[in-house]
Parts: sequence; structure tokens; C-alpha cells
Amino acid sequence: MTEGPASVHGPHLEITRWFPAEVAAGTELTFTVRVNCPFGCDLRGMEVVVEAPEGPVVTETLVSWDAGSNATAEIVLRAPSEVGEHKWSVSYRLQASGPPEHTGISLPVPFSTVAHQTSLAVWDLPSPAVIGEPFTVKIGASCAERCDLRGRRIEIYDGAGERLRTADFGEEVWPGSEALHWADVELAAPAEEGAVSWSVEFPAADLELPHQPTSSKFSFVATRPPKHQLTVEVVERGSAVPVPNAEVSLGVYRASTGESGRSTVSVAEGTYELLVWKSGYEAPVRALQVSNDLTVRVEAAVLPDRSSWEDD
Amino acid sequence: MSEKTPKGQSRREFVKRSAAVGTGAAVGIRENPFSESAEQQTWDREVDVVVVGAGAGGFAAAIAAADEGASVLMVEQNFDIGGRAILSGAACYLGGGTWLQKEAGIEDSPDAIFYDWTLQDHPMNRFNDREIVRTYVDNCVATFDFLTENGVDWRPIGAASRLDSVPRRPSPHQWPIASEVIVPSQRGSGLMRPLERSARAKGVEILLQHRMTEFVRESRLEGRVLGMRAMEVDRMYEPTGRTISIRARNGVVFATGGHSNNINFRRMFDPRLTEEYQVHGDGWTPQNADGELAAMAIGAQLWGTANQTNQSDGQLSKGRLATRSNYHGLAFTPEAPNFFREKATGLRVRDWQDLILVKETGKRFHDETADIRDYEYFFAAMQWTGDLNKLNGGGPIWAVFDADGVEREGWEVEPPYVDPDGYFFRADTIEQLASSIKSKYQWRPMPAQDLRETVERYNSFVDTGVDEDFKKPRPMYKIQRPPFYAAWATPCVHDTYAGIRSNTSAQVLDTQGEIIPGLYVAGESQGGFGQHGLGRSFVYGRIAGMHVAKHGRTS
Repeated sequence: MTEGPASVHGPHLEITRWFPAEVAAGTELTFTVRVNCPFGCDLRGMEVVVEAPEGPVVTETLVSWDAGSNATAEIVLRAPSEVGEHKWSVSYRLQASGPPEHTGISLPVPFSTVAHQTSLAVWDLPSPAVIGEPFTVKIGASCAERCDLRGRRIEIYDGAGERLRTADFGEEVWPGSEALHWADVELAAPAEEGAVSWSVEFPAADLELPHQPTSSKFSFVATRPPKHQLTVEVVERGSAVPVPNAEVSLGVYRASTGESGRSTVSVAEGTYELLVWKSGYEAPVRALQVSNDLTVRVEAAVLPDRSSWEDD
Repeated sequence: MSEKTPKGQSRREFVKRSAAVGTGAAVGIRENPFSESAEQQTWDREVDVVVVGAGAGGFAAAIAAADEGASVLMVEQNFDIGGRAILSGAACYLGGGTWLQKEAGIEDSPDAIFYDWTLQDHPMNRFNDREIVRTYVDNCVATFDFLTENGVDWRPIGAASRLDSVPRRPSPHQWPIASEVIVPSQRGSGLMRPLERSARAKGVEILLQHRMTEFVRESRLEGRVLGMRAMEVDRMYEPTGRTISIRARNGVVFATGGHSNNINFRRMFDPRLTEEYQVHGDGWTPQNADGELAAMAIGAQLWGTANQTNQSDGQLSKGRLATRSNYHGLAFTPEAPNFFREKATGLRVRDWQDLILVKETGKRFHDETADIRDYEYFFAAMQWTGDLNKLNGGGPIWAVFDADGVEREGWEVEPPYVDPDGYFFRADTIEQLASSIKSKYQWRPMPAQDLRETVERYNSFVDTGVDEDFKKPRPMYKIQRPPFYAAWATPCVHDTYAGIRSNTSAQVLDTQGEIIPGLYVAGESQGGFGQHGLGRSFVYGRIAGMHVAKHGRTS
């Protein structure tokens, strides 16, 4: 113990890396408590206490003394698992540190715990889907705190709010994700043509820690069954060289050209705008009446390479 | 080198003042600390000519001065020579009847260049000082010959650029020594390495890792420029605390690369260009208006300022993704000697249908397929976002895409291709993606709900094939398959098109239009000529070098 010029010293207390004012319930809080005597006294071996109104949470010993500053080791606590307001304190109590003595000091640390945020993803949606036909979609949910959501239930609703079905997440986390739990969900397209907007809800019920429920919309287009094969051949204007990887779309139908510059799209009978898109090319939009199988050739003009004209 | 400070100033004060200039933070016009003591100034070195900046303009000046018999010292703040030129594609606007043009059967003349470069129908031409342009065109052939004589090995001339009526934009072969090439896909080393060799062979000294801080003039606004001072910097451009003062008997030529990376300076021309707009190549050449500020501190005038806002040719670029230094046309490889500053190669976008672009609010703002230099796109990107705490600048732009987009583009979304330190984020869901974006330029959290609604709405446009908000032609792909990604896509700043006024001998002029004796300017720091690229830098560098060597002491 370093003896300072006064018989009773008033230390200063601070918390490093204190958790924010709002934390997710039940998550880890990591921090260090520092006790600084204005006279640089070595207080190693003395204790600090983290207290909740109902009693001490943890008592830690000051273990380091560096440039007159005493510190605990890193303290790892778990936040209360209930949602609510909390008024904790961190105290250095009067204890046998002297001479000289060091007065006690307490720092209030109010914070609140909140429910875990959850969110959803819906993917591998067919668009268009065929009216009345079944299709499969993948639906996943993730907790921002990476909680285990295996076996948890989701609910799918149509645009009128009628529940279509439920599904439970499987055992695996989606590849490439951190904590996205997911399920293959079989649904059936509505009986009428048109744009469809449905929703999925994750009630987040019955989890160990409180979680916020969440919902998400997803959309697709339902069409009549495609009956005709449309083959689109895309070539460069002038040279007739095939253009691979060009996107071809007719209304809601789409496909990409292969190495041969050809793509085949199954479409329902009707009138469409045929659009071909590829970066660096320009192709005219043309109207197309489809009433039987058809092959169409599209000449795409090569645009000037603007990416390199001034790269100096 | 001795450690000296100006008279009447403690070393600590000087270092502090110098450091304030150091990192492109708040840079203003400074008083010359030597103005009252220039006669008493002591010097660490004395040469005929000091050239500040070892890029295109600097090397042309240094070699031309050495050819006239002057002793020359170059001062460069990077750890290697080359400036922006060595990173470039190396196409030089140098025509008018060069031997390379003649070999290809191309007829050209100075008058033809002058006609092309003073046409009113392109913003690159209409704001130019035609006296500066005229001298440029009259010296193109001689400058081309000069570069050839100093070792530049030219490729066969290519097609005419859109600003030229005939082909007159040659570029060199790649430099054959791989370890001296900074960007393998670019040919700038084919210009700058031969010039470096030639300059050194002619006795030019090159002082690297020294940043010019002041020009020393006889008095602040009168008399000759006597020399300059510089501070030594480390590899991160931080001052080491050591300084040097160099007497230039004939004069000082500065070719310091322009002002694009000095936020306060560039905002003189366009107040929207706040801190979030990064500058390509500043990890090799800082481009922070050192020369302009030092010249203005002793009375120099800005010139051709309309050129800086001509909204054309590389002032801004839509750029690559997921890296800070994101000019569209250039990627640094992990082998690049400055990669420790650049940190990522970035992702080149093959098809802008593979992503959406959102503001810091999580909302789309434009058709993503806009051209890489579409100024309507840049205007939208810089539109006020509605935050009263940030009225200028449009905030960061983020490319948002999904796992399918990554697959279609063939990207590798790991370092060194992306920079996860503030420029690239990944998450399981769209909401988590919004919450994960932590960047010093993202001054407020992106609202997760808004980003999700943006994605849901965009996905519905993919279903219908019609972008009801921004008319993106036939939105192709939903953003739906996890994981999801956000990559830095904020436009980056490139060229400097306005700078210090000079006469046609490259002598710097003051605000009265009078010559500041002993001070010359070249390269992107020179005002009056909005030409993109290297031609004007070489021409006026050579003119400056010849003039300072021949007439610097008497002018």
C-alpha cells in the first residue's frame, strides 16, 4: 500500500467497456471496474461489488495496479433474462486498505433489458407459380443474438390474413449464415392469376429468453399453365456471334441464354413484350403473340466499352 | 539531415502546425512562417531546381531542367515515385503529328488539336483557358519526342478517343520488371519507370517520404520564391518530426497531384462533396492540395474553376464495391506495395441488375443500371437525405445483394476482395444486415424496417417486371436468398480539373496576374485546362523544367 499525504483518501471509480443503456435480455455483459486513488495508492486485493436491488451480483478483486490505476480482471455477467428496467450499482466499499483509509464510493448503473430481435428471410420462391399448383419455398428466421431456433414454428398467411399452414424449423442452420434456422414449406398457388402478396409470421413463443415476434411479406405471380415453348436466340448484330448469359424475359417469364446464345422459355398463350438484357448490349423490345411453339432471333447491338475509355 | 525549425518557432509548434496539414483534415490557407525571416533562412540543401511531386508533371520538369544543366532535387511524399500516373492506363493526349501518328498514316497538326480541344460542345473543352491550350498543342510533338528520348516505349496507336477527330492518344508498353509495376493491369509503369531511370541517370536526386509544407518567399506576397520546406513522413504519411529546408537557386516546380483528396478545398467548387466521398489512388498519391495551399499562401491565384464542376470525365465514378478506394477502372492487387493502405481489391460489378443501391436510410434512389459516370445518378446520390444534421453530401451508398447475386457475379466475398472494416457487411436477414452496417460515414443507424420494405418492394417489381419507383429496365432478380450483403458503393472522386493559375511558361501568377518569380506549376495542380489524363501534365512539366532552368534566376 502506498501511503499518500492525507490520512483518508477519496478514490474515484469508473467502468470500462460498460454495456449500453439497452441490452438484450440474458446476454453477456463484459466490463472492467477501475478504482483510482488521487494519490495513486495500490489497492490490489481490495474488492468491488456489482449489486442489484435484490442483492450482490458479483464481488470482484482489484488485481492490477498500473500508473496509479487499480482494475479488476474482465468481469463477464449475464444480463437479467426478463425484459425490464434495472438499477444496478458498482461499489467500492470502505474496507481495510490502510493506512491510509479509502472512503467508499458507489456508481449507479441503470440499464434496461429488451426482447431479442428476430427477423425472417423467404427464398427460392418460384415466380411465376402456376395457378392451383403446389410449390415449395424456403423460410428461415434468425435471432440477432444467435439464439437456437431449432424446431420453432412459423405461420404463413394469405393476403386476406387467413392462415395457410404452419411449419417447423429443422435441425440445420442455413449454409453461409450464422444462425438462420429454416424449413422447406409446401404451399399451393391461388386459383386465380395475378400478383400475390402473402406473409409469414414468427411468433417467437416458448423460447427460453424473451424474443420479439416478427413478420415478413413475400410476393410472387400466379399464371396459367405454360403450354408453349418459346426459343429465343440472341446474336450480335452484324457478326451474328451468339450472345451467352443474356437475360430473356416475356412478361413474368424469364430465362438466360446458354453458350449457344439460345434460351427456352415455357409460356402461357398470350401477347408479351420480349426483352433481352445484357450489360454492354442493346436489343430492341418487340411485341410477340404466342399461340404455339415459336423460335425468335434477336440481334443485340454491342455498345461501346465505356469502362476503359478513360481509365488513366 | 538536420532537425531544424524556422526561426522564432519551437520545434513542437512547427510539428504541430505541420501535422495539421498532414492528414487532409481541416486544411486552410496558412501564413508563410518565413515571411519575416526569409533573409535569415538557413538551408539544409541547395540546388538549382526543386521539383515537388514525382508524378508525370514532376518527372517531365525534373528531366527537362536537368537537360538544361540544372541540378535538380525531387521531393515526393510516397515511398516510391510515380504519382497517380504510375497507376494509370497511361493513355496520353499527345498528338499534332507525332512520329507514332505518322507511322500509322495519321494526319494531325497542332491546329487540329486546338480545334478539337476548344469545341464548345463538350464540357471538357468549353471552360478551358485557350492560351494554356494553345501552348499545349504547340508542344505536344516535342513532348512526345522528349518522352521517347527518355525511354518510353510506345505501343501502336489505337483508335481516336471521343474527344479527338483523329487517333492521338498513345500509351506505352507495360514496364518489363514486374516488381516495379504497381498495378499489373495498367500501363502507367511504362511511362514512369523509364522516366525515373532517365532522371536518375541525368543526376536528378529523389527525396522520398518528404511532404512539402511551405514555399519560402522573400516576403509573404512579394519577391522571389527562394526555396521550400518539407517534413519527413512515415509510410502512413504521418510526420516523423524531422524537417528539411531546401534552397532552390532557380526556382521550385510543384506538381503535387491536385486537390481531390482535400475535402475543404474541393468543397470550394462543390459543397456537396463532403467526407464520405473517397478518392481513388490516395493510398499511393494523397492529392491533398499541398501545392495549391502553399502557393495560395504566398499569393497565387486559382484558375479555371468552372472546369472543376464540368461534370464530365472522371470527376466522379460509380466505382467498384466493398472497398474504400473504389474507382471503376482500377483495382489494387494484394501484391501491390501500397495494399497495406488500400486493404481490399473491391468487387467489380458485371451486371448492376444483380443488386440494389440504397442510401444510408435504406431506401433506393435511382435506377441501378445507370452508367458508371452518369451525372444524373451522382446528383441523386448526393441528394439531401432529409437529416437536418447533415445538409450537404448524400451520405454513403450501399449495394445490397444476396447469395444468388454473389453467385451470378462470381464474387469472392472475403478479404482481400472485400474490406470488412467498415466497407462490407454480411447478415442472415435483411434487418440484421441494416443493423450490421457500422461505418464512420454511416452517421446514424440504417432503419432495419425501411431496408426490409425497400427489398420487399423491389422484389415485387421483379415479379411484375416494372420498377415503379426509378424505372430500372426490367428488374431481373429478387434479393431473397441468404446470406445478405451490404457493400460500399459511394461514388468516388477522381480528377482535379482546377488549380493554380500560370502563364504559358508554367510560371505561377498571383491574384493581380503578376508572376511569382521562381515558382512554377504543372500537372493536376495547374488550372485552366480540364483535360483528363497525362498529356497536359507532361507538356507543362517539360515547359516548367526548361523555363526554370534557363530563366528561373532572372525571371
